[in-house]
Amino acid sequence: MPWPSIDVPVFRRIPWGSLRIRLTLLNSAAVLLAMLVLLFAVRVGVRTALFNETEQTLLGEVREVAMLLDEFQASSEDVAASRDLLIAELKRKASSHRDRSWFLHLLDGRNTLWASENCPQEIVNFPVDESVTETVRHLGRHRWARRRIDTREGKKLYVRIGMPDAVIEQDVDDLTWFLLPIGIGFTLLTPLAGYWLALRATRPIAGILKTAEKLKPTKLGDRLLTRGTNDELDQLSATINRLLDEVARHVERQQQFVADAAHELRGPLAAMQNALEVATTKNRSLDSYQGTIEEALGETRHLTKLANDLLLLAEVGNSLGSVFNEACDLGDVARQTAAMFGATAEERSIGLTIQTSGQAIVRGDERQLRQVISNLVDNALRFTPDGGRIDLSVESNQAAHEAIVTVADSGRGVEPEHLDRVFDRFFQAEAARDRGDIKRGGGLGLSICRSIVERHGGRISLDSPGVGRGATVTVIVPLRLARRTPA
Amino acid sequence: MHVAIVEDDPVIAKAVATAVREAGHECTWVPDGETAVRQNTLLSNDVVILDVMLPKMSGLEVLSAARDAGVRTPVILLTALGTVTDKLSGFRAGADDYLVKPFAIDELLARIQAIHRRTSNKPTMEIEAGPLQLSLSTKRLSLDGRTVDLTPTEFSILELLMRFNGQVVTRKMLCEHVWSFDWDGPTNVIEVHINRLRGKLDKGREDSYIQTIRGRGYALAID
Repeated sequence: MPWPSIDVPVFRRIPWGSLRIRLTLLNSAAVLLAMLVLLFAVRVGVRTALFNETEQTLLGEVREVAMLLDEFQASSEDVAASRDLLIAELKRKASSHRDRSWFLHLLDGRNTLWASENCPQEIVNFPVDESVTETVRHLGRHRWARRRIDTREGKKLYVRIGMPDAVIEQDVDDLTWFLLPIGIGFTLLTPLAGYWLALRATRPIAGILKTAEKLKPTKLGDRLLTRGTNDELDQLSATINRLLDEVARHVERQQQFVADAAHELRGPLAAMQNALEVATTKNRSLDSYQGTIEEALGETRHLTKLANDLLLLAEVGNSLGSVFNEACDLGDVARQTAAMFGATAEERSIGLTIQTSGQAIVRGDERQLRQVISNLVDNALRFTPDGGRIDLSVESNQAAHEAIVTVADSGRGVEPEHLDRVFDRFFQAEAARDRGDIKRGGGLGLSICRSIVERHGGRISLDSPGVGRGATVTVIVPLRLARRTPA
Repeated sequence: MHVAIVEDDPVIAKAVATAVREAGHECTWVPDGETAVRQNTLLSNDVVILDVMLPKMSGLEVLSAARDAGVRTPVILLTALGTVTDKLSGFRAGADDYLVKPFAIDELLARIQAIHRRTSNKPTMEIEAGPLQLSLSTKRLSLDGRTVDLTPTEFSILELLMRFNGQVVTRKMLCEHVWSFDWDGPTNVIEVHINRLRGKLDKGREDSYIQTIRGRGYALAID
């Protein structure tokens, strides 16, 4: 007869891969295993305890018999009479413990004086070790206690009381039969309870799943619900929510950036288009054409600078998280930058000083770090009136493992309300946006600085006590870890 | 000097060709990579300007093929991609120089000349331009026979201007040459030094040896 197939639809419909089913199976398996081990341990423990207990009881009985003989001998001078009394006592014991199958045996070293009829033959024939006063023995499926009794006339008697193992095995079997239905009950109940528990545990996950399925890159408003229990699932939801916040902010920033970039490109393009259109409407003088072309050229240069800055930002942004291997001395970079701008500052009677203390060696791209310090000094120069001062300082804080570069100027400073926006792309305070100014910047200088500094694992901040009172930019980059030299 | 420009954008090609011809060289325009290979452009010119993004066959492929065939003609790559990896792959393919679009025509002309001089021979230790004599070994300038004291920065600027006598040198090229950093920011860090140089060179003259070309850079104009 073939085995009945278990390929019933119910089995096929169970999602074996689901967390709920797997949790149930794992739970059930764990509980079943624990129960099997427990049952086995109880059985073994009870069996051992019962055997020990029995042996102690039997030992007690033979001692009692020995004491009885002493009593009989004390009350009667007749040796034979007291022995008969003893045998009568033994008979009484045999009959009262018949249901436990006790057997008793009295012998004088070699010959049996009396034995109960259920006493197994191999025990009757079992020789006595005369050197031992009392002992507990185990032979075949029986165990017994034996004691030596010294009679008054100097003879040695031995009494054995024992019982078959089967009696105790029967007790253990009874216990097993009592425990087995409980075990089977648990076996049936465990998967159900496990499934219920798994259901409870995974229900919030189903909720998370449902919300997560609704999320779209274009619609990032939805958030996962937290139940306020602060358990692992709540923490997971909170973490995912934080990630969603971050992503939403990032997407918003990117959209804003694209819009700003388009706007910034449109300015110079419009100017160029208008100038060229006007130039072609009718015949004009050579000077007029030349002027228009120069204007257009100026605008294209501005566009080029803008495109280069955007490219630099993208390049720095893309390589975020990459590791630098080259060492770069920020003191050297600052000195080179000061040398490059020195004469220009001098020409405008701006005191450009540089102060370095300690070795400020960091891991990084020297060109990029030079770009940062150059941008900062350039900014300071543009916003500091003639006769002002710019102080460049580089120090290393060995304790905090940081290199600190500051560029402090006595220029026009920053309005307090603009302080947290100066590093935003394309942010420029009104005064810096003057189109007529040939020194106008692209509005990306400080955000390029921030990108580069953050790429180097550092941070940048700008402080200004107020308009007309100067500004200080602080750049902090982690120092390169000194390579350990083998001792 | 024969210069070829391999470039698919006709506006850029026309502008470059015009500028190169006006600088006194001959220039041919090759519109794509396949034509360049078929006509053996790299073999038949003194300097080749090669665009990287070309139809049919990329500039890098054209260059690698020529270098594999043992053609040593100097090549300047043009590209819109300016990342370090792009530049490295260009140099690995055998380019001698690299310019990122958009570029200043003056810079391209200067690079053509520099690369031609570099590959054709002899590093000179003396540069002459009219009454100016610059000794690169002793770092000394003599003007009409008398020594003029220059700061290292001024010396370096004048050196580049004299190398490209009669040609426009951009601010970016000067920054790169003097401070090894292509500063392109709003502050003109070259101007001060140019003015000081003029003060030293132009004593008693009405017009300066060094001309400012508005919006482009500076040029030394001495016959």
